[in-house]
Amino acid sequence: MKLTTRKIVITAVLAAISILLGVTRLGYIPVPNVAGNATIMGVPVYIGAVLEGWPVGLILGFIFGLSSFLGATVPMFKDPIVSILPRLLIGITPYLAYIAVRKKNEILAYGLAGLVGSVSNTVFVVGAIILRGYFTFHQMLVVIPQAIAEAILSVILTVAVCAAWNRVQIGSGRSKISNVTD
Amino acid sequence: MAEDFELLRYITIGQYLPGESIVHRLDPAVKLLSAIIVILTVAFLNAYLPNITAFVLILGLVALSGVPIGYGLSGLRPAIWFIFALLILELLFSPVKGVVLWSYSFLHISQYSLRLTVTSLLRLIDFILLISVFTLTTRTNDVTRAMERVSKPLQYLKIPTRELALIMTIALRFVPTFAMEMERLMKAQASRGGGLTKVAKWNIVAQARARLPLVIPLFLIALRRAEDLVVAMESRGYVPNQKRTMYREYHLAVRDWVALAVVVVVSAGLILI
Repeated sequence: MKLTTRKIVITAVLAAISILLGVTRLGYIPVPNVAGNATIMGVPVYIGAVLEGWPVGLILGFIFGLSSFLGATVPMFKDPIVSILPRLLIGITPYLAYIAVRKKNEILAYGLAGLVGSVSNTVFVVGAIILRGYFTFHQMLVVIPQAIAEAILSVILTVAVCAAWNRVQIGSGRSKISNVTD
Repeated sequence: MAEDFELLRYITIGQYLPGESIVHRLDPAVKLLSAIIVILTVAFLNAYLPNITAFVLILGLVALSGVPIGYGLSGLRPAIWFIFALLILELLFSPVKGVVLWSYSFLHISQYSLRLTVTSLLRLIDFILLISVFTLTTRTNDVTRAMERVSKPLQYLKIPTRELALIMTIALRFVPTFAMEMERLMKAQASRGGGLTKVAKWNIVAQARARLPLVIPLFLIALRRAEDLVVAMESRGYVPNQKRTMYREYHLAVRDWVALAVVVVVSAGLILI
């Protein structure tokens, strides 16, 4: 896993956004059910994975998991197996979705990355909750409406940010030194 | 009204309670490693006795560190009713296993659900106290350096731990900056009649839509700042994946080894009883 200066810095600023959305509660949308909140906290992870590749997604997933673990007030998210472990994967799945479709349609690929990321977050976290025995499968079905809301939001945000950013990049020259040094 | 825009108030990252306790003086890496060991241990305790023992030991640790216990638990306060509701849910609706202690139509309290509720409450308080003690007795710079040092063995697996520590340092440095940017965006939206303040709390669609014009510009501002920082770092000769020296060197003292040994022995003991 080779990291360039650009990857390091972009990971860091996206992690900062992730932490900021978490501590200010702006990343959470109150929903009345067991999980308590629909979250857009995963979006920096998907955006990082799309813009800079899976290693960035993996690191951001870890930081997202860590901040979710440290800031959790719900017993099941104070369990690293629920809050950190599944999040390691959610930066990798959107990247795979993105590179699979990128050749056909860039915008569609961004949207798919957001969708796949959000769905894999839901599936892995809920899976971990069930495996650890906090709730049963039937009790977890109540998260479905919230999972749909999260998926829609992350698609919108991923497409909006990635499309806007990549257009900006074409206009202004960006630093290329980091590509040379490694 | 004004407090709706004061995001920096919520940011408690980097808070540090100065003190002279043994917990303050331990090497940060030893503290971090110990916290990880204890958290993993507590996560796997299921029976009553080890959970209660761990809880008592952690209370002792809090007393030793001189962190006021109310302050350590303050993160819990806004969520207290929610936690309460969740625990009731867990108590009444968990799968019925063991002796049923109480039941009323579809509600059951069994030995299993009672144990699950008590242990998950204790575990939650354990974790919050442990994390508070660690973060409140360690400076942010020491935390990131400690992460770097604890994860050093992972370098053999080709995991770039030095760069990860740098990522954490930059991220923590940028959180207040982005909070200020966010305040600016929220005020800009509010002055145009938009923003979060007018939106009903439980209107999920409106809540979500109100966030889009705040979050998307925030991402773009952040990415632009990242570009500037990349140029700044490279023009100062930063090259990733290189060994570098540090302004401050750490040396493990006898008390650090003793503390680590105590943590390992106690954790092993908790798993075995």
